[in-house]
Amino acid sequence: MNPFLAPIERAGSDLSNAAQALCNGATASGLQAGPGRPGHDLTGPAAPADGLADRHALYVLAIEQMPQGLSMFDGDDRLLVANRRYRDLWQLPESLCQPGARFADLLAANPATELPCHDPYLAEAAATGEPSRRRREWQLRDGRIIGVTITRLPGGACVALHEDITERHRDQQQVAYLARHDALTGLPNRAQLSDEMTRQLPRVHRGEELALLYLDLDRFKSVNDTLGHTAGDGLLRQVAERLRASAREGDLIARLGGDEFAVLQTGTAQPAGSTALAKRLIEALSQPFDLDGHQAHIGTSVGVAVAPFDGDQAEALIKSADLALYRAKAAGRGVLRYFEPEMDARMQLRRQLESDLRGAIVRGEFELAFQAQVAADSHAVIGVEALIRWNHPVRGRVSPLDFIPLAEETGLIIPIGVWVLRQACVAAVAWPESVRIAVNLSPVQFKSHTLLRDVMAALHDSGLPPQRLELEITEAVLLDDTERALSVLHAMRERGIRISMDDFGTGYSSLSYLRRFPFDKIKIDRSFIQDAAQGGDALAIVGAISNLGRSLGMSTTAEGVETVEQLAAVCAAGCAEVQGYLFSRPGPASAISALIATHRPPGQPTEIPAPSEQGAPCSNDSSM
Amino acid sequence: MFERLIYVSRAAPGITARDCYDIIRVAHNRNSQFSLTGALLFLDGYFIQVLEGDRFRMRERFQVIAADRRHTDVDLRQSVTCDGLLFSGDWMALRSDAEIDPAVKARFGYRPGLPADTFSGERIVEFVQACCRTHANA
Repeated sequence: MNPFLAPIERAGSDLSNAAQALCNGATASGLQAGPGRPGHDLTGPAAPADGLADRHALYVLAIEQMPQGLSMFDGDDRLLVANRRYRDLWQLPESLCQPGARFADLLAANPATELPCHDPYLAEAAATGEPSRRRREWQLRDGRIIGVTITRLPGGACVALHEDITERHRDQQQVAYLARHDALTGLPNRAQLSDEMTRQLPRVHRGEELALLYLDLDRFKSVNDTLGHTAGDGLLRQVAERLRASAREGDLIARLGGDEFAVLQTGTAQPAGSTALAKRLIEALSQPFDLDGHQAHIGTSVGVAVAPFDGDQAEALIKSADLALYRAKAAGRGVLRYFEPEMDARMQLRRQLESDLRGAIVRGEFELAFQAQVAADSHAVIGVEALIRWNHPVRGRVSPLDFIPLAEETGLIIPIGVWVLRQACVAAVAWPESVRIAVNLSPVQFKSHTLLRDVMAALHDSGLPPQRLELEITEAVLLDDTERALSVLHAMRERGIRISMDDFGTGYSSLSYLRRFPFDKIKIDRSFIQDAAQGGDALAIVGAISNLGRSLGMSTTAEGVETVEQLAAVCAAGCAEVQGYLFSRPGPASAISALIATHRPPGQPTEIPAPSEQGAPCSNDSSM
Repeated sequence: MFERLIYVSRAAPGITARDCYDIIRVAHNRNSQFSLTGALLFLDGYFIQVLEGDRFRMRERFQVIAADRRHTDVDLRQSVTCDGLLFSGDWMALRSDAEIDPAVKARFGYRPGLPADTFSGERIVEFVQACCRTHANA
């Protein structure tokens, strides 16, 4: 037990009586420190003359040495006791700080502003029945903040402890700031945006409108991947600056995380206000960024939700803006889209489709269809392309155009791709060795580190020789992370697997890709074949690609041949192989086997008779 | 070569502020999707729209617009071929009187529905441009 406190406790009633006497207006004069303790003066009542003097001197010493300021006022707000620290904290002249001084006069001597303060003591006091205690905080003119804990005694007097909490307050402010701001850009974060929306949304009920703009940077990942995270962070800081410069006073700009930002716009008519703002934001971020000498070109897409039309609660509005942004990004780059209710319905549908897709392999809902590829001159079947089909138990057959993009976006293309590879290889084993099996690969599969292993496992497990597997890629595979994709392609080719360039002629059709990788085959996109029979530009392009392929030692396949006229045209243009409804519609493996068996003279390559005029033109299937 | 199309129509009876906003946001999304530029005003119960862009896309859009039951009396005021775009890269919609500078209305002698006897196609375009310009600069 603290020896200084023990006497106080024992003498509790004496002190209480003394205090009561003081509260009742007893003499209040300077209290002197004990002998041998110079400088320990205490504003307050005179020291008792009896044997308590030594103990009193100890109290004086203790109170004077307290790191906190101490003051005690009577029920009329007149000073009873104050120590030196109290005077120092409040910078009160000693002459003013005398017993009997009025609280109002002391406060006036160093005016301070009271700060809002949460008071944990108050509830505690109420619960325990102790004297009421409360906490107040004051900011002085010099910036210091004094925290005061006040205990009000029965009878009206009060004792207060005073502390300089400037540093603590600053730390708390800093913590509070960090909790509501993004550390990288200094912008408000999602929590503050949400709070601000909750604060602003009641205005909507008074007839005002409010727009929430969601932004997502285009090509940010590419900058991060190529220039590194430090450059990426620098870019985000610059983006924040441009957003600040483009917004108007009153707009709240927030960073939601990653490369996502939001702007809350109030006080302007919608949608004109958000249209104008979104255009400024898109324009500002479309200008190049300088990242330590590297120029980065990004951009942004914007989704907008407007209250009250798209929701009058923060959560609903955020969801709507997010959906609008999703549609904006799907529409391209630098696009502005306003939320529409049907977007929500589409998203629900998409989520359902995604959920169904996840279980489709397990439930055995996928199947492969096969379409023959024939030699242009002999019409011999030299290859078969595997095409995926999804037989949905409720929707029926779902087009690959509807589920492949979703599978790519969700990463489900990886297990689906493995399944296709395995099934295709197993099917091909049953066909003659002269027949290759072609399987399409998605760019997303190339981002998986297991692609080569998956391909080799499919070959190994099925027993299909690598030379009979042909993997079809589009140039999209080579657009991102070209070196890595090329290295995987080379590794496959070294193992004897054939690689073909699909849909050539559409997209960028960069010839540099043909230089950088020795493709075995170029497949000319069906859009050129459809018009080839009419001659003109399409036929000229087919001829040029065929010549190019020949020069580079690559075979060319004309896709989507539906009529004999088209066949004649592509043959004349120099295509070595053809594929299309004219020869074979996509069908089950058994149909290909039958086709091969029917048209294969003993000891001869698989051959299909020359097609007649009856070849029914119709639209082609989309490949995976 | 582009095509410019101007029409004025009357809002169907009972149309609400929500309907009006819905029309405008869908118009924004579709026009932007088809790279059509121009502006739409909703003033005193009338829709006034200037649309410009690819001829095929424009006509496709106008078919949809004309069939919309939320407006009636669709009056095609102008449909011309043009070399350039007056609202290059822009599509803007203003849907309340408060968004229009009264001085602009006074300068053009505005009357609800922009009657054909005083508002030619060119004058409508000028009026719409002036309304949008003052708003964009606000």
